[in-house]
Amino acid sequence: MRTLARIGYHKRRRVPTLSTYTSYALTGIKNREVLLAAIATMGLQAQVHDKATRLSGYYRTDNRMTAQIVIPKSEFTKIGTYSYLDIGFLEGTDGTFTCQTDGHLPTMVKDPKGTETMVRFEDAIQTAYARVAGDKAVTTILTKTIPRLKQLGKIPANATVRRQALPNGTTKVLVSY
Amino acid sequence: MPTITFTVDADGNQSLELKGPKSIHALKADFDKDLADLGGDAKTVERPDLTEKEVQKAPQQRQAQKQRR
Repeated sequence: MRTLARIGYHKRRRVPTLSTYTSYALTGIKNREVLLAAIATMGLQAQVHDKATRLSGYYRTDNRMTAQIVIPKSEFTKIGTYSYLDIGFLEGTDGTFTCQTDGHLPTMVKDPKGTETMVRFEDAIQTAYARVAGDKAVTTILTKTIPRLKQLGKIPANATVRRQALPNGTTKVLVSY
Repeated sequence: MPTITFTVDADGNQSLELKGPKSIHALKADFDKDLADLGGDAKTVERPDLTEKEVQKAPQQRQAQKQRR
């Protein structure tokens, strides 16, 4: 702003217009509902347990792993692949889920990005989670955030809200007033 | 005209752009709060609406205007 003031732009615009650009980086798998939906988009069905249960594995050491959300290894044959052990998600004290999988024999699944390559399950679930979280974020903004802002008078009640889907898969929510 | 643009790309990357007078930037907290539940960690960049190129051009444009007068 100092540079703009020096060249006299502040004289032209009494109220300087400024953009704030915020990017939301997913720091982990935190939302159980989104995680279950992401697993479902991969064609798998998870079992949900109140308490962490032991995962069934190929090696003895695998049996030490526990998780509240479990994808039985039999599920992977449904999507044309194979897993030597159950894959689970263990909820930490901070509410973040950690993927419990085999480091020796990775489970490979089809890339959720739509490419023909096979990727490690841990990477695929991150992609699937980000996509579901993105859709959920759009819904949250349209059904929760914007109506609340209008109700509180933070934005005018007659503000125009548009949802735009672009051919490249990008979704935009545009609010103007 | 104040505008709010929330974008999600095909890979699920999310971003929010708030454009307008200072009052609109207070709305960011509302978005952060709702999106945090989904695991979104906000990283904000503030930027003037003028690009660097426009800022550099401005003195030359003023000089040209003076000369036309």
